[in-house]
Amino acid sequence: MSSQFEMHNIRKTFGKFLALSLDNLEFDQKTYAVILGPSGSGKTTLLRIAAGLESPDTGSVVIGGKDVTALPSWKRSVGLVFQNYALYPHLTVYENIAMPMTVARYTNDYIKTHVHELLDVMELEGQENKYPKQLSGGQQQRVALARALIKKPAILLMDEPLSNLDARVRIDLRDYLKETQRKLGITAIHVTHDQEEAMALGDQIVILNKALVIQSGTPGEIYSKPKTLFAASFLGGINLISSELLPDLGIRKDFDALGVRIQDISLSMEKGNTDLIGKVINIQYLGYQYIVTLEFAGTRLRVRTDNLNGITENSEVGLFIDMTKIMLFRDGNRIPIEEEGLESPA
Amino acid sequence: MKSPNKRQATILVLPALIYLLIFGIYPMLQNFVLTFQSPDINGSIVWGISNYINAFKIYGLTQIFYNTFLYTLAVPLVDILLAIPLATFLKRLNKPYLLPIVLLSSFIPLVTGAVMWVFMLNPTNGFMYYIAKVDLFTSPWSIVLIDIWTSLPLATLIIYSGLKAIPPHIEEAAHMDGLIGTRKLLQVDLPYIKPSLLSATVLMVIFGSFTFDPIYVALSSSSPFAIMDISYLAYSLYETGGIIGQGQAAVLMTIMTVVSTGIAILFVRLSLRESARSRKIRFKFMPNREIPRKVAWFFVLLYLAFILLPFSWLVLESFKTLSEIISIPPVIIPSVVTLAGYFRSITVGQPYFISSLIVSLGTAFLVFFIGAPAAYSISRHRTGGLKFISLILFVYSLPTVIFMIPMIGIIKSVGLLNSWLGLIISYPVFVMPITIWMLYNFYSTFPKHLDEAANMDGMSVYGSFYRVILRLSGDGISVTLLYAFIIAWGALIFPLAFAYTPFNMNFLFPSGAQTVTIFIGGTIGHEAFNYGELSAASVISLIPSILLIYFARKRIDKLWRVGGTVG
Ligand SMILES: Nc1ncnc2c1ncn2[C@@H]1O[C@H](COP(=O)(O)OP(=O)(O)OP(=O)(O)O)[C@@H](O)[C@H]1O
Ligand SMILES: [Mg+2]
Repeated sequence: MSSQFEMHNIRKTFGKFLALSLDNLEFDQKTYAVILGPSGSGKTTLLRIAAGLESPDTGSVVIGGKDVTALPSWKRSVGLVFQNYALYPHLTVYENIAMPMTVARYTNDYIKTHVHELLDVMELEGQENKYPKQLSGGQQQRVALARALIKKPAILLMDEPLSNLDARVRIDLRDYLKETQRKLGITAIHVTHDQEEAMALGDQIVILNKALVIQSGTPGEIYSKPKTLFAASFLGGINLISSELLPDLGIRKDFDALGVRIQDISLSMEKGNTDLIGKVINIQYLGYQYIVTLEFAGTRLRVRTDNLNGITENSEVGLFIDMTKIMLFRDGNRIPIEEEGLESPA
Repeated sequence: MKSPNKRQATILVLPALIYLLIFGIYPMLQNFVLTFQSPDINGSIVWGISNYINAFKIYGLTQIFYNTFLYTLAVPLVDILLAIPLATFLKRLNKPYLLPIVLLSSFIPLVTGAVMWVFMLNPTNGFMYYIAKVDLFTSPWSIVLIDIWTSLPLATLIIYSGLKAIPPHIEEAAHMDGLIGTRKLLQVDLPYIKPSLLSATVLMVIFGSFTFDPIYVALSSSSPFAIMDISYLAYSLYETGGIIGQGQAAVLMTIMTVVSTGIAILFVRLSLRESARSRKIRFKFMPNREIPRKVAWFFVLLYLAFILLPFSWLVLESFKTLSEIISIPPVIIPSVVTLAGYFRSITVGQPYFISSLIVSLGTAFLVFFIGAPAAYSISRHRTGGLKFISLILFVYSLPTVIFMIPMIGIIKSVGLLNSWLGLIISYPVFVMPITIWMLYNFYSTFPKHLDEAANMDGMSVYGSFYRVILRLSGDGISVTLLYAFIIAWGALIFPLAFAYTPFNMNFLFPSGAQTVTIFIGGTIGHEAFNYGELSAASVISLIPSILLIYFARKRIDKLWRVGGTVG
């Protein structure tokens, strides 16, 4: 597979403030890429540079093997879905979707066929004469998507496309986005600050923090092998325990923090031979699982479990950590135990 | 049952409501009654329709109707056609200092503007000598020209404000779609700012149909019927025609009222309601290219030349000696600079300037005390729903001249004819509607949590208005007040009708209230009129306007933003 989208040595500053700095970023054809990062990390900036709405101080943007850094947005073969949709309020659904094509001077018949094709894909048939404000949020989002896709761009860019929707619609549209991307076989770059969304959608995830790329990889890689403490904690579902609070676990000692995912701890009323004892503070029932919050050595831990086995609030329980799944961090970076092993380095 | 909050909110609009009923609605009805009254041979009043019959026999009426029609249609049409490109260029060039300069001619007294043009277009002594030695004032197009010059900046301001308020994401969406330049203007910008376009059009229609001041000034150098319109005819019938003239004037005023009501309904509809969406035309063959900055600059400079030329000529005139003023061919740059005009205009014009200053200040404050609470109440508490704001827009779209005859009755009955107070109580009828409208829009953008917080703290509606809102609306109010001052400063019809001598310069027993507009507009072409003195007085009359534009330069486009914030 060839690389469909590339960014090289991009730097963007606003005044003295560094908003984005990345050495190299590449996405293959037909990839669903997700840019994940907290607020202010530079996600939108990255997307806007890709779209041509912002020009970088240095560096280049390459789409389909062609350097487009100097090209205006509409010549880049990119479609952009804005966070707030940015539909033209004075135009109907049909006219909104057709706009990029009318500008490009296609014939009316040609435009009509294509718009209807997309209306069909987006399940918007019958809505084409409505105005944006007569549509629900989810429908508006799909119109925005259709408008971004009408010119069959090589790259589809989406800036937090789901963040203005309520939870249920968000999950539906999430599946829908991925299906659409697969169906059309295009490269999508989706920006979000929601790690669950990122995990659910991404073939490739890029984590940004403070203008820098922290890690890039498949969801599996990022999940199981986060490069840094930040990446691990940002993906969530993990307990991070400072080494000072831990009793001797019989492993290497040159780490600052230990990370263990919430499903990798088991709880038991029988304390057995463990030194790790916690007090249950709160139990949340999620319908199929429980999240148990514990107090342990002055910090709080969370554990996900399928059954409680008689554990109640305020009970003292023993903690059993699956030592094969733990992560160790030093100076903010994960110690790559795959190579070194859990035992102290000789 | 009304909550105490509702009741207090209602009380805040009452003064404005009562005022508008007495000074706005009553005169309208009174005019209608007057149309049926005429004197018989013995001079006693009889009822009948003879006024209607006679009014249509007035000599030159066809020309007058034609002129009125011309002013009402040509002015808005040309204004909008010129304002759209100008606003677009201003936005494209994005130079903050350009807007205030462009705005100059809309914010000065109409009389002063007209005087500038009369000077400039004089084919023997004016700049016109160098262009074509013809007298434009033989044709009503001269008045159209002055009207356009006066109103174009306001139309531009409204459209420019609309353009500036287009959200960035829409601009960027258009950019992504590849829409730029003229194509984007026609396909995205103009449809998006439709409310502003409609407001600008209707305001210009009202402006054109009211035309009075330039006619008053230009009549000195024109043949009587060439430029007159119905507004002016009604005034002159009343002024010179005694009781017969009054009845016929009332007929014309009633006709104007009906027409204006039509316009008003249109205005209210368009301003307050979402208009029906129309089919879009395809603009396939419009150039999809950004206007080069050089081209934009070229046109903006042309516009600036048009707007500034009369100002420059006036200022030059004001420093010339008499011999240079009347020399043929006219002198452009004075070889000797003299301040004689200024000294004379200050000495001779003193009583007029004092009257204008006091009356305008008084009006601004009266308008503030009555108008600000009302604007706040209708904007925040929706008092009177659409009815009150519709009344405001309605009164705004009535020509000032129609209030004149009944109001003389009111002012006479309280013994205030020819006095400052008489003018102060009558001016708000044409000053207050626009100020309430501006403040209404201003308060619509005001953060709501402020009065909610005040309310939670146990403050009443009065409390939150007087103790919280007023203190925080300093900038909106000061600009609006200054604008009110300027409208009052430039008033002409009311002082012509309600005042007949200059101030007697006795502050203990003041009498006389003729204003600077009468001093400027009335001296031109009369007896021993002195160009230097007149032009100097005209320059002085610009001072408040320049101050307004200077103080408001940063937020001026926000105060005239219409449509978007409504409803
Ligand atoms: N036009 C601008 N001028 C100045 N600073 C800017 C501009 N645009 C972005 N920034 C700054 O650059 C940084 C990155 O902004 P960006 O919008 O890319 O963040 P983001 O990751 O998209 O955040 P969010 O999740 O809140 O949307 C922020 O600190 C922001 O304040
Ligand atoms: Mg963002």
